[in-house]
Amino acid sequence: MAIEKILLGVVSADDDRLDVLASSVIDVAVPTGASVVVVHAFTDEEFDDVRSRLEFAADVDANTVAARHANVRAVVDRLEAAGVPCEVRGVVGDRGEAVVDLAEGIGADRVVVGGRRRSPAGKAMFGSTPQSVLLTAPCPTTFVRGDHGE
Amino acid sequence: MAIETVVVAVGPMDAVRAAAMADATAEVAAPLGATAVVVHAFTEQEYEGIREELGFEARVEDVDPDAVAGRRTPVPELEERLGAAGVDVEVRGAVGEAGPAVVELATALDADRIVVGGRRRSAAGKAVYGSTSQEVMGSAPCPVTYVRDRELVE
Repeated sequence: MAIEKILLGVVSADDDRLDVLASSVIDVAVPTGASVVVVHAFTDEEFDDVRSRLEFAADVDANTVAARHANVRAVVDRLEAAGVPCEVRGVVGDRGEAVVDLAEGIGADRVVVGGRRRSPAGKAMFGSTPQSVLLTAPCPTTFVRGDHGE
Repeated sequence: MAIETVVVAVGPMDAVRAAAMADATAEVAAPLGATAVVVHAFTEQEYEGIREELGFEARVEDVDPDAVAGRRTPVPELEERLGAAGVDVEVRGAVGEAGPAVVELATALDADRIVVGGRRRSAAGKAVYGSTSQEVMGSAPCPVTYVRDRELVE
């Protein structure tokens, strides 16, 4: 058993914890030699919004949009600077489900997701997307809060 | 920010997933040369209930929590599996409610990762975390890796 592929799941709400997400992945990916897939998960509404904001045509694919997203670029810059091979994917729809489907599809050995103590609405513990990923991912999942040690 | 200390927190409920938790810990600790610390927290009341079974004479205030942890299922199994994977292993025990006690100990150990396990279903059949895992993820000083039982799901 070795960690060869790490899936880093990013959502729009992760914009204030991109550094800690990237470094959590780098800490494992560098010594294990794992490659990383960075996936940005969009709701349908978010995707339409980001797509038109970035002036893409209506039929653009999600991977192309994700690759231009500021969150993804920030993370990929950090990973590449650390010498970690990475590729970018975009998924649209039920974000938790889409991340888990991708984890299964690529045979991920680890999933890394960010979150907070509770969702802003106070409902789901850690936010609904990380919660659903933690509970249904096909492999161990690392939960990274942006506020560790605060 | 190298990973030097990986805490793997276990209780008796984790016996069914000890192998998966050992794997998840060794996958990170072995290639990094990190030390794995198997942590087990128990309450005073719990200790009184299992004291004789574990072969301890001392009352809770006089017992060495590390020694109790070392005999508690599934701690020896974790120790053995991690050792077999070539990982340096330590065992630490703590007296107290599992969630806060694990977080406190992990903080004192300056843990870089915590591994927790769990799989429960609520009365409605929905998947939920174990309460300890939930508390650890919510207040841990570092990223937490959650290892769930797959057999129960598929």
